Formats: sequence, C-alpha cells, structure tokens
Amino acid sequence: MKISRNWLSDYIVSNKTDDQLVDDFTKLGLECTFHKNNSIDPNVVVGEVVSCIKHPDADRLKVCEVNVSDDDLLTIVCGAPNVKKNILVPIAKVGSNLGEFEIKKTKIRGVVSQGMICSEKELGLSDEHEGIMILNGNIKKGQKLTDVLSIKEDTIFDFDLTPNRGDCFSHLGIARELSIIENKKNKLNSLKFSTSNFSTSKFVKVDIKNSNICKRYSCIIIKNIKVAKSPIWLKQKLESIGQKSINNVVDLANFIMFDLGQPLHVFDLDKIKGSKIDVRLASKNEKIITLDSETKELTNEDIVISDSKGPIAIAGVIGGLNSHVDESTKNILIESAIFNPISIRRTAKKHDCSTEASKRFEREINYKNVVYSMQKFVYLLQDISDCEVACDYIDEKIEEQQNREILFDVLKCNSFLGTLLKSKEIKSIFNSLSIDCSNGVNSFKCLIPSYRNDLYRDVDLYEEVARVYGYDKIPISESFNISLDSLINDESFIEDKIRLFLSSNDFNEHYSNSLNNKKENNHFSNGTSVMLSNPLNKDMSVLRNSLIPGILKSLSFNEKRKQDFLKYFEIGSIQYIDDEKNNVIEERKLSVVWMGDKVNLWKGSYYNDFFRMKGEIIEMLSKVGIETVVFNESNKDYASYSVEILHDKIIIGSLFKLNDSLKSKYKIKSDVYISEINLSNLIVATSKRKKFEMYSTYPAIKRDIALLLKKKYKNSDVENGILESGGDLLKSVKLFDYYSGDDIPSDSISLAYSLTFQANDRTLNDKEVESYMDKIMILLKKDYKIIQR
Amino acid sequence: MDIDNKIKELKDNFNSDILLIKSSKIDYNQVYTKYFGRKGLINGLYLYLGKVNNKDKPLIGNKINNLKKELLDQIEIFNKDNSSKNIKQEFDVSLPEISRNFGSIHPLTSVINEIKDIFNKIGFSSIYGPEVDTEYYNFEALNIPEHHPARDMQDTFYIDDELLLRTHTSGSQIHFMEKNNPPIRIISPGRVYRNEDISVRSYCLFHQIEGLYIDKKVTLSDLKGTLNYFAKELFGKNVKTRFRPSFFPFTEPSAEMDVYWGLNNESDYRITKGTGWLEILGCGMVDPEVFKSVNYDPDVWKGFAFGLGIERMAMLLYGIDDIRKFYEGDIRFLRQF
Repeated sequence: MKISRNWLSDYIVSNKTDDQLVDDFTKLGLECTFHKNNSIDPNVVVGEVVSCIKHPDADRLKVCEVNVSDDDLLTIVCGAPNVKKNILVPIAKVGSNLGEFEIKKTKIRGVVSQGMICSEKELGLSDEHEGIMILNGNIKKGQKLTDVLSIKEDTIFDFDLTPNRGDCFSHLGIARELSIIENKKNKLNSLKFSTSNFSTSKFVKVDIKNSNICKRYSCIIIKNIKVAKSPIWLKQKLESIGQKSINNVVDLANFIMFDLGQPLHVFDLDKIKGSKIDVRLASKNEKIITLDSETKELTNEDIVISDSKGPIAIAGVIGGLNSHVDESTKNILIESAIFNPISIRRTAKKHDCSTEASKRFEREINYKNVVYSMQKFVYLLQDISDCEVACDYIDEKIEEQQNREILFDVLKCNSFLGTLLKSKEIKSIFNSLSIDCSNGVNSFKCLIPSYRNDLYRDVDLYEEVARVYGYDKIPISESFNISLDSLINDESFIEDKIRLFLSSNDFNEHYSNSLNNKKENNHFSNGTSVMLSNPLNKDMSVLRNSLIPGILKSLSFNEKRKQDFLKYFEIGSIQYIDDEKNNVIEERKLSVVWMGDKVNLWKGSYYNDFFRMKGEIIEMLSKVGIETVVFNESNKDYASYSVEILHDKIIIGSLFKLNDSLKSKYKIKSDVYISEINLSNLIVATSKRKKFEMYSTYPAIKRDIALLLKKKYKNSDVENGILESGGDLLKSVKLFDYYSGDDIPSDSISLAYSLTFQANDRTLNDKEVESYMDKIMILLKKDYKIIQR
Repeated sequence: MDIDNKIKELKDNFNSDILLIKSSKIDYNQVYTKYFGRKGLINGLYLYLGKVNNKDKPLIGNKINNLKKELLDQIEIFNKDNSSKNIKQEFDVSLPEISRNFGSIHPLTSVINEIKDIFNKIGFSSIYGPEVDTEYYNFEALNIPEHHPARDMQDTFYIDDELLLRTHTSGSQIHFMEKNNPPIRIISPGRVYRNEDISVRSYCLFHQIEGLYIDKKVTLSDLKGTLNYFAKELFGKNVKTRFRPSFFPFTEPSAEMDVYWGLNNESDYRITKGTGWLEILGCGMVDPEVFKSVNYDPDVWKGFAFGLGIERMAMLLYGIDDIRKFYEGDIRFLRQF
C-alpha cells in the first residue's frame, strides 16, 4: 500500500528522515520501503501564448510565441489541439527536466523550438494527455509552476502490510502508528458544512435484510452537483499513490478511502428505482453488469445493494453499471457501510474481482469511522463543486458496537516476554496506542479502540507491549533447558548414509521438480497419479510417482550440453493413489542412474555396464546393513533387460537398462542404467546392529576350475551348485574368466572359478580339499552337464 | 689366465664402462646386461667355475661372489646418484591423474544437514511428515480459518476439497503434537509447495525447516536466545541480528529475524532493499489457538516456533542468484558442491 508523506503531514508532522522513518515503521512491524516523488522542475514556469500560427511545413503543428517574462519571448513548436492565443500555460524552459527527459533547444521541421508547452501527464500531475494544461486564476507569467499549484517534493512509502493490520490501510491508520514513533497525538479536523432543507430519510428507506451481512449502513443524498474534472490537488494526491483520476465525485470517494480507510460508494440517485435500498443476499440466478461492463452471475453467498428492480451494486466489491456516476449525473447518494468480511472475501475471490474496497472490507473496518468518513466526503465536496446536502442522513445499525475490554496482568506479560517491565511503563505504552487502562497496578482492564480489530486476547496485548517497547530491547536469553524426554531418533539417518556412500563414488545428488506431466507418470510406475485440481500448467499437473523421469530429464539436459558420462542419484518422496482404499500413499525412494558406457582416459578406457552398476548397488546396500540381496530376472516394458532386487523375499527395488523407445522419449542417446530402491522398506531392514564374526587364523587353500557350460544354464546355477556341494569349509567362489568364442562349441560358454577353502580350527590338507572338489565336480556334471577343461 | 687376473680385468672394464655411462656415451641398460644379464660376464665367470677342480671351487666361488657383490654395490651407488636425473628423463609426472571422481551432495541437502546439526546440538530432534496433507493440518489447526486474508500469504495447490500439497512443514508439527505430550523440542525439514509461477526468485516448491519448542516456562527472550545462537552458528560469531514484529496466524507475538548483511555491492542493495538487513526467518510464540487444537492447556504450556526457507539460505551462503538452478540438475552446477 502506498502512503504519501505529504498526505501524512495533514495529520502529523515528523522531522525524521525518510530512512529513519522506514526503520522506525519496520521496528513497529510495518515493513516498508520508500522512493522520492520529485516535484516539478523549478524551470517549469507560467507563460502566456501571445501568438499562435500554423507551422509552415506541418499541418498538425503550431508555432507559438510565448511570453514568460516581460523581456523574454520564446518560440515554441507545439502539437496540442487546444493551444491558442491568450492563454496561460506551463512552459518547460530549455534545460529543465521532466522525469528522465531533458528539454533541449531543437529544430522541428526547420523551426527552432525553445522549450515545451506541457500537458498534465508530462508534468506527472495526472494521466491527462489530450492537450496542454491551461492555467486559470490569479497567476502571473514567469511564476514557478510549483508555487502556482503549491506542489512539494514528496516521499512515497510502500507498505507491505500483514493481514492482521486492517487498521493501517489508510493514511490515517499509518498516521496513528507515526504518532507512536513521534510520541504525539494526531490532529483530526472538525468538519463543518452547510445543508439544505431536503431530507435523506424521507427520500429513501434502507433495510438490512440479514443481520450478519452488514453491521452498519449509512448514506446521505447530495443534489445538484456538477460532475467535472478534479482539482489539481486531488488529482495530484491520487496520482502520487498510483491512482488514476476519473472525475471529481469518484476521485473524492477514492480519496476518502485512502485517507480514512473507509470505502465509499456513490450511486446516481436518479438511476435508483423506487425509494427503497435493500442490503441483502443475492438470489440464485440473479445477474448484474458491473462497472467494468462484465456480467456477473450472482449466488446466495453474494451480498448486493438492491433497489426495487434488482441489484445496483455488489456490496463492498464493485458497483453496477445501472447506477454509476457519469458526466450527466446531477444527484447522488453516498454509501458508507460495513459488510461481513468473510462474505466480501468469498465474493471477491469467486468473481475474481479483488478491489481496493474489497481488500479493506476483508480486513475489517473501523465501526466508529463510518459516519465521519461520509461527512468528510460531503465537507470536501462542498469545497470543489456546487452542491446541496440533505439535512439528515441514514445510519442503520444491527446493534451498537461497544469497544472491547481485555483484562491485563503485568506479571503474566513479563513472564511471557521474559521482561521486567513496570506497570507504569506498560500503561504509557498503552496510552501511545490510545488504549485506555482502568486503575490497578498489576492487573487492569484495557479498553481497545474501535479500529483495532486484531486485539482480542491478553497475548495480543503482549505483542503490542513488545512491539512498542521494541523487540530489540527484549533481553536475549543465554541458557535453556533440554528435557531429555523430548529427544527422538532421526528417521532419515539411512538416507544420509546412502548419500555419503554414493557421493563418495562419483554419484551426484540431484533434486528434481516433483510435479510431472501426466504422461511421464506412466513411464515407470503403474501407481495411479495424484492430480492437482489447480496446476500451474499441463507439464506440472501430477505428483511424481517415480523419481526416474526427473533424473532422465536432467540427464537429457546435460547430454545436450555435451556431457557424456554421468552418475546421478536422487532421494525423495513419491505419491500415488491406492485404488482399493482410495487414499494417497507416500513413499521415500532412491533412484540411481548411470548414463554413458565408456570413459576414455589416457591410460586406457573404462567401461560401464550392467555389472558395474550391480556392484555399486550391492556395495551401497551392504553399507546400510543389507548384506544379502537376490537379483531375479524380470520383464519391464521400459527396459532392455531388468532384475528385481530382493531382500528377505521382499522386493526392495529394481535394476535395469533403459530401452531405446524410452530413451528416445527423453531424447537421450547414450546407454542408461537405472536402479530404483524403496527406502520405506529399507528402514525396517536396517535397524539391526551388526555383530562381529571371528575369521579363521589358519591358512586357506585355493583351487581354480575351468569348465564348459551349456548356454541354457546360468552362472548363478553353477555358483549355487558349487556352494551347495562344497561343504562348510568352502569360504568363497569367484568367477574370474568368462568366455565364448570360436574355439569352443557354439552352444557353450567357458567359465573359470577360483574356490577358497579354509577351516576355523586347523590347517587343511590337500587331500581333504580334493575330496570336496570331487563332490563339486560330480554335482556340476550331473546337474548342469558341465565339461571340465 | 688365472681367476685373479680375470677378476681384475673385468673390474677395470666395469669402472670404465660406468664412466662412459656418466658421460652418456653408452646406455646404462646396455652395461647392466653386459655384466649381469643371463649371458653376461658375471654369469660367464660362474660357467668358468663349473670347469675348475672341485678343491678350488670354494675359494674361486667366493671370489666371484665377492666381485658380483662389489659390482652390484657400485651399480646401486651409481643409480642413487643418477636416480633423480633418470626420473626426469623417463617419467612425466605432469601426466593427468587417474582419479575415481568423487560425486557431490546437493547444496540443499548440505544446508539442511548443517541447520539440523546446529539445532541437534541444543536438543532439537528431527521429525518428518507427509507432503500431501489435509486442509485441517495445513491451515485450520494452525489458526488459519478458511476465509481469512492470511490464506493469501500462501498460494496453495489443491488435490480435492480436503487434500492439498502442504505449504509449510508446520502441519507435521501438528501431527507430532497430536501423538506426543510436551515437553517438545523438534525441527521438521521437508519439501513444501506454493502455487507460484516459476521465475528466478520463486519456484513451485521449496524446502523448509521449521522448529517448535514447548515447555512450561518459555519466553520471547528464550526465542531470541535460541535464534541468535542459530544465526551465530550459521553466519559466524560476529553476526548482527535484529528482531522485528510481523504476523503469522499460528504465533502471537510474531517476529521476523534479520541479519546484517552489509551494503558492499550492487547485489547487497538488491537483496536487502537498500537497508543492509536481510530477512532470515519467521518466528513467534505459539498462539494459544494452536495449543487448543491439539488439546494442550494454553495456561500450562508455552512455546515458540520458527521457520526458514532452505533455498533462500543456500542462495545466500553459496551466492546462487537463480532458484531454478537447484532443480535443473546441470552437472556444472552440481559438481561445485
């Protein structure tokens, strides 16, 4: 919200610098910044057009001679349609600056122009740019324009107000906070205006149909006004806070809202049909065309102002086109009211029509400011336009609202804030906030001013005490208790272990967006997608049900940038819908991805394939305490080949090579290997503490065997066969050669294993080992038809 | 020729050959092979030994052994003298290292862990909660009723009328409070979502750590003490902090903590809006309404809560100026951490 410093000084004058004020407001909880609104350059002066002829070489331009002082006649080329002889106009002389723009002596179509005749827009006074500004009244040529219009340099504060401080949504509201800073009271002018002998209450009746939609509704009739352009001071005030000028009546209503925080609405009295104004809920299927020429379909949640024919305004949000003020308006009715904040908010949201008025109603209005605001409008209108004011006004109330009382306890406050404030100090703080306190030292009643709609409870007052006293003065506690009861284990320890292992092994941790395109969610998981009802766009419309698409997108991004060998991982949550129970399941997942198949180094290349990846996964799982895993072949329509990873017969994840069709979907050319692990299952599996196992101190005996195996059998068949038949002393079996080629039968492969035997209690002898080897060979020949080489 | 002469001649030849190596006239390897190779002169002497009388063998054998030892010693001395020279000629240490690359931990993880460690030290335990939560846990229980303007502070992604993507991790704290009795001392790190357009400064999701402390005697002064400690741990002992009033529906009083960042360059002016102060976190005393929604007696229990955005911290700490970099996965970004 923008606040003009000049405007504030109507209430209270501060000698502080802008920087100091920003600092002080911020310390009170009103965060703001400021910028300077430059005044008009003193080189802009009043000039008299003494001659005005058509430019010899341009139809639309005129050449004027302008007198800015008795001995100074300037030739100025001007294109405005309303320039003519014998008028007073603002002249920007050569060397003056209008905003960023410097006025220079220039030749326009062969004629030298010594300055510029300005429009209101060029001077930053309003949006008016149809023609040049024409000055009237008792002014002299050569006079500075700033003096003529009494325009001063201004500072505009831009406040970022918190939703609880509806009371600060006006210059008066900010002035109240400034009065705390300055430690002096605001001055409020008394408003005197003359009235005519017709009556508002005899003309219209106001009926609030529903007690909880409107607390108070006031209105007054004004006749024989003249709708015209606003005076400069009004235009300029609105312009300074970024509001456009429309006409004197509408501008003045807006001015009151920014001045006092009370939104007013002005109806064209002659357009109100009948003599009754109802404040009611709209009925179903009722419609209204609003000021912005849009048709709004109303529901029975919307509050409307209605005449005998139907709605003439959506209360507190926007007026109707059928009752609005235009140039021909003669008689008006001014409304000043308080509508239900929740209804207003709902209506503004529903119709996508949040206005300056609705924002203020949502944040609650000062009950006691309703009539004053209306009166200030009348008072100022009499100043700027002819008008006749009714001798009375209507003021409908559901009930008289009393100021709230809150019981305050000094000891409780101190023990809450950690302070040692005395009763006297606290009362003086309340005094600065215009909160009246009853007698009593440690306990007293506080009477809350009507504009503080945010103060209800004692803690609310503690905050007031703290902010006025100064948060910075509250002592900083230097010790605290830890209750051991409150300490609990961190469930994420396993994730950090995995991160540590992977990041030490060339894997880079990635974070991807967890909002996916729906198509991507079909690639790697069958889980029904959790869809957003209000997504930002189609590509982010579902929650990811797998981490893989996110990583693949980023690998593709990198491949395009000529990165060819990358190892990535991500740990994160995925969501899907359990179709049976129809609820959302959330799981923690780990995804490990390897892109590229070869790293070229000057000492030779190093290859990357399925088996290396398998090794990484086994290593990683063993680091988090999962020692035995089984890989079972599986079929996935996104994989060239794939396995499921099992631990204790539970599937904990998968490992696969991405097939070409999926690669092309993500526009990746290199080989991609992927493993996805369900961490939710791992946490259960890893809670066991490791136990030390004694190893043998006796020498081991190694035996190598080479054999031919038919291709229909697998390495795992042979390995398991060896382990089963090798007896307890067989400690390990390692494949060290794998070969298929021309010199062996085409249906076979050659495998070579190294076997290690070792006893825990003695030195083994060769003979013993031979007997085990015989058993092994017998089994392998029988079960897998191997041929020993 | 008797053996002594043979030995003397061989020794002389050897010494002159060594000199020739030193003057680079012949190659070291050539000389080594000449004397010690399989068909070398020393082995030649041993062959000769096979032909002498058995009674002379021990004596002559001994002499040959001594000669071999003597020459090998000389070779060793020579090698020692010339070793540095040899390496320079034959071994280029400037060839690139063969390294198994280290990977990297994402900067957001690092910042989360750093902050967790800081609070763990003073007894805050970490808890986690669901990213998909209900309207009740995300708003109602935290004193943010449906039609309150405070809802505008957080643009929300909805799944249906009841379910939404959490906009903060405070909901996890409500879940935790429902299941546990005070005293409570927890932090809740996690991913949260905001329905905001993606730009340099904002993303549709980010990460948060929120803290909660509930006990019988907790004051605003304790809140300041705890967060001051945090700022010092994260930004250094000399950091200046300030607390200023703010508004959150679930705390009363509410505050924001700024640290003094300084105004040393243009970016400082931009991020501190020209004040030099940088907003770091929001905090406050737990609002009695929140206690009521989890059935804690607000007259008995007091508490404070705070929350901060991880991305914002990481951007400050590492000097990253575009929030989207965290999620792009560009290897040139990730490898730097």
